[in-house]
Amino acid sequence: MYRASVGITTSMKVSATSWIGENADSLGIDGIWVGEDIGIGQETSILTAYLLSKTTNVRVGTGIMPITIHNISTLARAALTLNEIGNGRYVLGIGLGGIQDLIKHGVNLAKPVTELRKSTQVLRQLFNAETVSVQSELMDLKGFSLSINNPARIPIFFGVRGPQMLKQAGEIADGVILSGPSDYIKYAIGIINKSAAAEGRKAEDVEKVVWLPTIPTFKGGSEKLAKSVVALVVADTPIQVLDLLDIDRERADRIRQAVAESGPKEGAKFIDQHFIDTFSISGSCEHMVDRFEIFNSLGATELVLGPPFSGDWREAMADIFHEIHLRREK
Amino acid sequence: MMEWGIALNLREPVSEIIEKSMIADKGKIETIWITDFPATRLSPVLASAVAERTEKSRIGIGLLSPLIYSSSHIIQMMTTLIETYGERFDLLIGPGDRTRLKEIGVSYGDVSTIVTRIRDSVTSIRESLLEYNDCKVFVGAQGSKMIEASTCSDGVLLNYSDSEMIEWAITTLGKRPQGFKIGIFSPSLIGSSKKCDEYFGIKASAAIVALGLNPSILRRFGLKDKLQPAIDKMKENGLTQDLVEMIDQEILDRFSLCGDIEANIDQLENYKQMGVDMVVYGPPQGASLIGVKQLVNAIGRR
Repeated sequence: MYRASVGITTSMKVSATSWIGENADSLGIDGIWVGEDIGIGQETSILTAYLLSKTTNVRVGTGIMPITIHNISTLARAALTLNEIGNGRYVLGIGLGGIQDLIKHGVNLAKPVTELRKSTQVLRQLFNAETVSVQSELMDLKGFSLSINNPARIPIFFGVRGPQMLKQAGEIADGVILSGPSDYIKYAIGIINKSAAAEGRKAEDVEKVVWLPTIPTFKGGSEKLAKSVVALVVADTPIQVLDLLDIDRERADRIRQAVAESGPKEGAKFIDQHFIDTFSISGSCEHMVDRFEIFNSLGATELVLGPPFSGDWREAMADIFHEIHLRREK
Repeated sequence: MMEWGIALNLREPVSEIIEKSMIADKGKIETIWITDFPATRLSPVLASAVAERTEKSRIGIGLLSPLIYSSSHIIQMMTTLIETYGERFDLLIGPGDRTRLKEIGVSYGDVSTIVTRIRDSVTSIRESLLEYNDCKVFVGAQGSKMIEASTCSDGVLLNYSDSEMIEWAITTLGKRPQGFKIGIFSPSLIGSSKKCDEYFGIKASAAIVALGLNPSILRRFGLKDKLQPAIDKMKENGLTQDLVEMIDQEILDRFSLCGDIEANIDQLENYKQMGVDMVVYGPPQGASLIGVKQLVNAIGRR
């Protein structure tokens, strides 16, 4: 059986994220993932702290905080604080950030795979109460420590997509947050499991979280918003991943160009039903849970519901989790 | 009446900070200041947990350095806290300890422009928070340029306790903008019967402030020659007990508030006469539960 979670982003309204925090335990939600829309809306770590404070049984993760935007010491200090607030229920998700965000912030790393590996090593050393000195493309620490007496066990998940990154995740990450069509998810989990095995790790040592846009159509969700989100996902999907898929590549390129030039709303104009079905989980309550189970059969250990949230999403969320729990009891 | 605040968050775990915050809140301390780097836990995140468990005290964030966090990130932190927990938050901005910043790869850059950069950050942060009626942005200052620049904010917090220095700072400030507050944020140990020279914690905190003063302040107050040997030694070996013991107690007393409340009543009254609006009791006051309880006891007798 898979873990069933909710995904939110920092650009969501406080009223929406508060509702999720206040109702997560009673809805039987296993986890909440907080995605950082860089520089937009609520501050990621504070929102995560709020969710940890409001829940007692729910695992809460930042998925992801980009190492390209934050000083590594800030990421480590935030993680330590959140881990204590949540009494061990916190997961630190890191990655480079979405392609569009990196372009917008002028971030261009020469060796992104190496940088993510080094950052992970440094974070683990710091959580292990060690003093660290390191210099790299992104980091410059001189005798920095978290001044803790006992090691803090904070799982580190990667939000990554490309093959080299997936291989690295299998080698060193505690989990991976994946997004993409089922063909891609199958391919990605294959790479992760293979590289984990090569390092003497078991497949279950690396959790696989699948988070793609979910669009319940049974409670009046907005199609416009759904298309806009799917356009952004298409634009953020690496070309080598698009090459794996049975999609209209010409249309995909038009979507990417429109998003890059004018934003997701323009890209949404080129999104058709095939793209929605490929890049999101949509439909009736039962159909969506069926899709979750398909991803679970491919090796996903956790499925994430949402965003986009539109229509009566609160009721839709309650129905979906009710359905998941009913099936668990069978 | 002069407002009181207490600074929390050094190296203690979150649970202990929350316990102290609840004592301070129930004890009617007006503001709980959650310090930031080089403190281990992240101030705005901790403030979220403190806001969950307290009701009346205001919560001060910082000192936050715009050299670590961008102005837009600081604005995002403050607006998230306010939108989630209500208008209970104030902010303290300053460059931060130059030596400690180097540990995380953050540099002052061109020192001649640091005051201008901090003022620009404060101005943009304050403008973005103007839509909230009750969120004050303070500047942490020592030297004349930063004190003068602080008029772009809602108030200045000075990290020394010596009357002569405070009087000079207030004179340097000149005419205060309307509503502008002056505060002292100094190493403290109020409520203890111990004298300053008996407790290493307060001596060490005072030494850190004294040895970190900019050279012009040291010269102005006749401290340069007296402190230079200790400053040189600190550059070599960091802050050690031997180094703290090298510094005259009279000098350390200029940077700290210590002793039982009765012994400080005259000093607090003196501050008030000079125009000081608030006192934030800095470390080691909030480093222990006892220190917080002693301050709560003292506030009843202020």
